[in-house]
Amino acid sequence: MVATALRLLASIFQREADRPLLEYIKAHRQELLTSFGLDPLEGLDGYDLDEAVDALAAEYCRIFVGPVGHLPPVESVVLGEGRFWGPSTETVVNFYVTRGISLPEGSGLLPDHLSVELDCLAILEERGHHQDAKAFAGEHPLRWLTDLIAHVKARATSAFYPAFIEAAQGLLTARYGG
Amino acid sequence: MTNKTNSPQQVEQGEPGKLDRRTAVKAGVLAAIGLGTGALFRGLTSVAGAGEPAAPPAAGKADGTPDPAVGELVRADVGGYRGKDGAERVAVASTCMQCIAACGIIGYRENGHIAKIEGNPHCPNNRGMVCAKSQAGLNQVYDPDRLLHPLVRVGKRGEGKWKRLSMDKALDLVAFGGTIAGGEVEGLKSIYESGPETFMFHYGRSRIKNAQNHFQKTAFGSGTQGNHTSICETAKWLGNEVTMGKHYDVNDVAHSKYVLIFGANILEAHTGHSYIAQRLIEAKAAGAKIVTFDVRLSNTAAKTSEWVPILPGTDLAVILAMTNIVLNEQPYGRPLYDETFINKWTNVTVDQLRKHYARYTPEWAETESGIPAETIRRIGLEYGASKPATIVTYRGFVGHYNGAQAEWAAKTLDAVAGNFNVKGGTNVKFGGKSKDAYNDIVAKENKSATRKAKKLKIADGDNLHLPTHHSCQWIYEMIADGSHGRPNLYMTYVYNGAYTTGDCERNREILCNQEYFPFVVAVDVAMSESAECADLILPDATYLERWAIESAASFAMFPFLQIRQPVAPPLGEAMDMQDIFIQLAQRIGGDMAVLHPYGTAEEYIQASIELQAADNAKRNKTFYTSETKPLQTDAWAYFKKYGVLLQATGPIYHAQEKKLKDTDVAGKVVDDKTGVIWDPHKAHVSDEDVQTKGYTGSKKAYTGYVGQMVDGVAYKGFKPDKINKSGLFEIHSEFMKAGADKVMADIKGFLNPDEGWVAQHLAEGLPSWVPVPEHRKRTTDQLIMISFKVNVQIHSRSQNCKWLQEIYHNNPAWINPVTARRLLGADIKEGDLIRVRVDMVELPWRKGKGVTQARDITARIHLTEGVHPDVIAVSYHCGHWAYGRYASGRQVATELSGAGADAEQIWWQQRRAAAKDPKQWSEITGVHPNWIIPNIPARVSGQFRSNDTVVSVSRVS
Repeated sequence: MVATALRLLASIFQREADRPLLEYIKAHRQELLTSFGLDPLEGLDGYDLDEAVDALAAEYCRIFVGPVGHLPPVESVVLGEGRFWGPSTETVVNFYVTRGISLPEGSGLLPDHLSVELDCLAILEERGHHQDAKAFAGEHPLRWLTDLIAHVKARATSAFYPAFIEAAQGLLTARYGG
Repeated sequence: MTNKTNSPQQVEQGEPGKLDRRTAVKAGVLAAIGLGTGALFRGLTSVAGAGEPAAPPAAGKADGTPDPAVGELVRADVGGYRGKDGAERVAVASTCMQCIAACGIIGYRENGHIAKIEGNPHCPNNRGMVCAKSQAGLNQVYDPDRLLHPLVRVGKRGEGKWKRLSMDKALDLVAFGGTIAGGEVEGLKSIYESGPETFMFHYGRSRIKNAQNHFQKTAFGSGTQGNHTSICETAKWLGNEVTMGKHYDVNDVAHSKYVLIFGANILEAHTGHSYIAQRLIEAKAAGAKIVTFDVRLSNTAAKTSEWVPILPGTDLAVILAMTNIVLNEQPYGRPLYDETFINKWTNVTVDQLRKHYARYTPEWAETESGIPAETIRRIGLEYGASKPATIVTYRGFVGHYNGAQAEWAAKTLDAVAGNFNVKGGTNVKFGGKSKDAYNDIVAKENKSATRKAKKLKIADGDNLHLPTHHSCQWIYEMIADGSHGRPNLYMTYVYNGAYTTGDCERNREILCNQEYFPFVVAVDVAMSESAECADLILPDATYLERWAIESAASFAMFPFLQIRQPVAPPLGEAMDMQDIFIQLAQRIGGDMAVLHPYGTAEEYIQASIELQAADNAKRNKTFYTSETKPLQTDAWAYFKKYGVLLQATGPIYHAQEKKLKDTDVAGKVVDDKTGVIWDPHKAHVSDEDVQTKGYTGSKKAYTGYVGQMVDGVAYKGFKPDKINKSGLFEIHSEFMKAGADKVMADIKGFLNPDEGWVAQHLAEGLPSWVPVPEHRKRTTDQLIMISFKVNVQIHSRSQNCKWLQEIYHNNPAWINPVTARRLLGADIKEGDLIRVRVDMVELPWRKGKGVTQARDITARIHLTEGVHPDVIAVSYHCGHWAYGRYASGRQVATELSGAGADAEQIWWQQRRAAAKDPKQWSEITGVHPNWIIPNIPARVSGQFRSNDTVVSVSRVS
């Protein structure tokens, strides 16, 4: 259950939302509100689903992809190392290597992208390695989510990404914090 | 400062590994959604059976050297390398592309990323040395603002609203067209079927010319192509082509006793930068004298034996006078000229030259250049007497109205003095040669699938004389004019044309106009001031992530090939442009797909090398190793491992003297008028044209050039390129003579009453004086603005490199303090803000076009005696706003300022705000002079006249 939840969050931050995802979010809107106090569809009520997909694609680009004013959801960049593949990325990769986890060469993914770090937590959950996951979450995503949240809130024009980034922080804090 | 470690919230604690109630609810809701969507992200691979924390992997061998994979260098090959923190580090030989010099490099890959770049000691050019720019190549790959995914416009053009597309969808959009921001665009497939010439490809420093020409010209059928050469050296190349035939010259400075440098900053920014620089220093250490004529005390000028400040645009006058000296003076009782070379290899006599050059005395040259006649005479004598010697020229020399004439004159002086194609002299370029797999296999075996390319005539300017390498800065004006058609799909490849040429405001106005450009596709590594105007952006692989065969001009004086191969796979969805061509060809289908049978760029490059190896075997030739031994192993494997394949074992001089074999000339035609041996069939010239028009009169006859008859012997000669010149070194040039009327029409209104002889001289077809028109109308309170490059930046493609921007990010305007006090007041001081305003003289050939709207910029003043008193010098590189955080100085997330240790050291932390108007000075990013440089091409060559602009300066109150 936790692994699936983490992978959903990974999907949301890996690329822009598609129609099936939005349909399911719409179906679970009330539960999200109850569990997290967040309504990701707030501000999108006036759109039909296809319009919402388009609007969120532009929003995703504006917040995470750029080309101007964005902040990639990548640990080394958010931590102010000023580059992809910074020192924190190497730490993340070393963690993966020592746990028998690898990023397929040529995948184009950055090891410290939020999605990949959440996927790593999902793998550790599936293995039942809670302490390992806790250590990783504390040393990595939980170190930089607050700053990413500040950026997302500053750039966002709808509630979707702020809601899910806060949901991610809420879940990780609840599961690994303390 | 922000605390980077979040304070964990108070949570209900449960048993480790078990879900507490609150977490279970949260996770349950998300899981329900996730399971429903059915497409959850999985990026990582979990190795079965793994799980418990394991020890780090072994560091490789005891000496820290990991076991090499095939194609990777080992310690003995590269002089040693180390793993870091026990991580495996592998060495991959490749080729730098930060600048055009294309130095051999070793990229070190560690844990899937590129950790370091060094020079490749096996490369004959740079011999293991690279510059700061090369080492900062890492910054290109890991620029946090790099384009990693295709972007399609969702707002108005230039508005900055985008959404991401998958690469598949983006390529579909290019191939098939579709809807962008509510408007329909036509794709390549439709254009291919209806009017291929309306597909325009405009490239910057691509280095994949074979693949791009195959895709666009041979397969697609469009010759509508733009390049960027006229920004740099179109005039130089034309001057070379009319004399020595090929466009690129190599100064063998390592063996020179005397080096004359005109307007070339070779220790900082030459096209062979790191390797000509190291050889120049070696020559100096060996006792060579080096004299630099430059308007500015560049680092090159500072390191040479003597700096001679010169008025911009008057180098031609000095060279004409020096030629006069070499022809007439005999300080040691013997001629300084080389009569043997002149008689055998040129098309003039010493007497002809003496007569023509008699007017160009040092005293006359002093009146034009401001350099004392005695200095010109002394240096002319030194150059003439010190053999071998060589003249190095570049953009400072040719970025003028008279640039092509100046290069023609410089080549003539080298030839007259006997310094051509000799050890220590000026030589025609040697470059490696490789078969092209597209050309050799695909096109030949599928001839019927190929097309004869048609083109819109928009690349060569308007009524220019010999723009053999086009006039790129004028293309947007040609498109706006519309008389010669407009492209339906305009694709740029690593080309920031709106900002790297003059008249930036006008460029962007045209480029953002959808009537002029219905569909703009930009393929680039990073966002640019031009890509902002695109409809679709495709992410390009950086040069450290892609394939190519390089054949840089060899300063080792023998031909060799270099590989460019990925040091690491491309990040994100970035794709090698050669792979983009393959993908597009497959989508268009039919003959396009037939002509692109290789699955990847790597397959194509490998096939090319293997074809060359097979051709070597057929001709009883071989590749050589970097140790100049015949290659005994598989060429492709060696090439991937060491990065080079040599094609000769030692320097080659006197290349024109090579005698042709009987088999070379059998069945060929000797042109009576010129003595050229040529193959009309190869040049697609009819028998009738051979009889009636001959070699010089037949279209593109030079493509059938075989050799040159001299005194009854068939030689290789000076092979022509671009024009139908003979195989002689043509000092007398009918091609330049033919442009005399156009030049005179331009300049006659600017000549002095006693300069009637200028027209007569131009009509003689020998190197002659041509003044820069605007400079003749310059008043004493006006300056000539020139631009220049610095040693840690490339013209416009390095400003996203953090390490380089940290060193050089703003560009104060150099002005001589005497001039500054005269024009700006006695109390002017270093760092004061000034306004630089272009004062455009009405030029007869401009016809109202190309008048820039941006008429002034502001800049900080740098007072230095290291600049000519009539000059203001403003470097390129600076003033970007759309090229990411480092180039623009704009914070992407203000809440992150001062966040990380490194971020605290970024230069813009002290002054946060970047300039809102890029025409105005910014402490963070400087200002670009291109805003006020007119794009009007040089009439003869089409050259961008980057060093001709007349300006006035004033204080900013």
